[in-house]
Formats: sequence, C-alpha cells, structure tokens
Amino acid sequence: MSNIFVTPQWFYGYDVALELVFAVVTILVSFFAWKIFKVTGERNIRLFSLAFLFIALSYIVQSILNFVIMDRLDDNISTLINLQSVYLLNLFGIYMHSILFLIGILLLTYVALKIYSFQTFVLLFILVFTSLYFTIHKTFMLYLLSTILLGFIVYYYLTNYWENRKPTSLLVLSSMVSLFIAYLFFIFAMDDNMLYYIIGHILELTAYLLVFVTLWIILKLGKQKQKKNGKKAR
Amino acid sequence: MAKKRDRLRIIYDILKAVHDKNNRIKPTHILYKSNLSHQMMEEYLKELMGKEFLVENINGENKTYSLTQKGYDYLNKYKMIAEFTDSFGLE
Repeated sequence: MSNIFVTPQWFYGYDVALELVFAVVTILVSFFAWKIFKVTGERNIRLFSLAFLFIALSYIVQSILNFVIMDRLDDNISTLINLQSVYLLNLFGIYMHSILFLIGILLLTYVALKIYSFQTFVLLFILVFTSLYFTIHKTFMLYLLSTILLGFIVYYYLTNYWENRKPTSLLVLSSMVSLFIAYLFFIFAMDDNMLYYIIGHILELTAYLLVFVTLWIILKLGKQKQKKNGKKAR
Repeated sequence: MAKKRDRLRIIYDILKAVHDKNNRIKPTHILYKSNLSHQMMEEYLKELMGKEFLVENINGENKTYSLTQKGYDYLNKYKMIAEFTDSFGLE
C-alpha cells in the first residue's frame, strides 16, 4: 500500500488481503526453492529462496501495518494525534516494505547476473541504498529503483524463455512483466493518482497468481514423473 | 565452469550411472558413462562426496562408489528440480 493518501477509502481492507495473498505465494516459492536447495546444495537456489523470503517479509510487514493503520483510522479519525501516529506508521510501513522488497529484488538481480562474487552484491547494495539515502523523494526513488531492477529481471527471464521455450518459463516471464508494469503504475500513483494505485495492485495480483500457477504445474509434473521414476530408482 | 543446467544434468548422469550398476561402480565406468574428462570427473566426485550424494568404498586396490540416501533423493526428484530451475532461470 503504501500510501494512505493516494488510496481510495473503499480499497482499504482489499489491499491488506491482497498483500497477504502476495505474502503466501512468495513464501511458497521460497519454501519450495529451499527444499530444492536442500536436495541439490546449489548456492544460486539458496539465494533465490532468500530473495523470495525477503519479498514475502516485505508483504507481511506491509499487510500488518496497513491493517493497523486501517484500524486506527476507523477508531478515531478526528484525533490529530491519532492522524500523526497513522502518518508515522504509514511512513514506517512504506520504508520497511520497500527496503525488504528491494533486498529481495537485489538478490534476484544478483542471481540473474550469474556473477557469484560477494563484491558484486555489495556494490549493487551500496549503489541502491546510497541513492535512496541521499534523495529527498524517498518513496519515488524506492519505486523507481524497484522498477529498474525489475526491468533487468524481465530481460533475464525473456532470455531464459528464449532459450527454454517452456510454458512454465513463459508464465514466469509474464509474471515478471506484470510486476514490472505494476511498479511503473506505483511510480505514477505517487502523484495522487488513486486509479494507478489500484491498477498496480491488480497487476501485482496477476503476477503472483501466475507464479502460483507455475509452481503448481511444476509440482504436478514433478510428482507425476517422480511416481514413474521412484520405484525404478530404488 | 559449465552452465548450471549442465551441472545438474551431469550430476544426474553420474548418480544414474551408479544406480544402474547396482549401486557399486568403479571410477572408470563413471568416466565412460558421464562423458567427462578425468579431471572434471574427479572434481564432480569430490563435490558429490562433499554433498554426501556418494560414498567411496575402498577394498584393497579397488575403489568403488555408492549412492547415499541423499543421492537417491536427488535421482528421484531430478525431473522436478530441472523443471523448477528451467522455469525460474536457475540454470
């Protein structure tokens, strides 16, 4: 959410529910990736799992804080002190969500770069967080940085689909494109455009539903093949 | 270093070769089945033993390799692993 000042009142509650859905899907991806890491021991799969864990945490924080804000606004909207605390909570929510989300996206970008050097990650981290620290328009910068990184990730998944030509690769690519466009809308939602904020959320939902469908297909295919091969392997 | 997808496939091929030889295979057979150079094979075997997918059995001058439970798990779940890594670009 993000910003209560650009959110239409009727959307309160829906955004909290949507953020919980995003959290559940990203936790599932993180958990599944972690299980695969435990079998393979591959470092990039562990990083991928961590990336989705950070993204999931960002949505959990956002959802809880938005719920608290909604609750406080309902309780006593006319109290100035209450509005101030709501403002601070909202600000804290935006920063916590964005920082956790940025770390997640940074880890995904790092995996996509395929240059496994700690220095590269530190460099990316410093570049992103110093530009964030020194800007006056922090929220705008947070969405802008997320969009840039997501753009890079979209390009990576485009080349991945180009190489694999698998339906599941196409689903992942489509989900990342949806997420990228969603963040573009969030940038413009900063200019008090409520409609952009809602469109952004709908696109975000589309993105995570596509990820969920991908995961479901992989699990289904995997279990079918596992049944066929399981007895043979023993 | 080989691409990740190739790596996961090579690991599968090595483990499959061990499995197909009744879970006891000589290094020369692994070399033949996995289609790797001797140096690469040694590196993979070292890695697979480090990850506890394989155990080394030494009987006098004979050296063989066997699968562990983790090795079996990898073999069983390989298709799902490959599907996941392909879809999410983790090759």
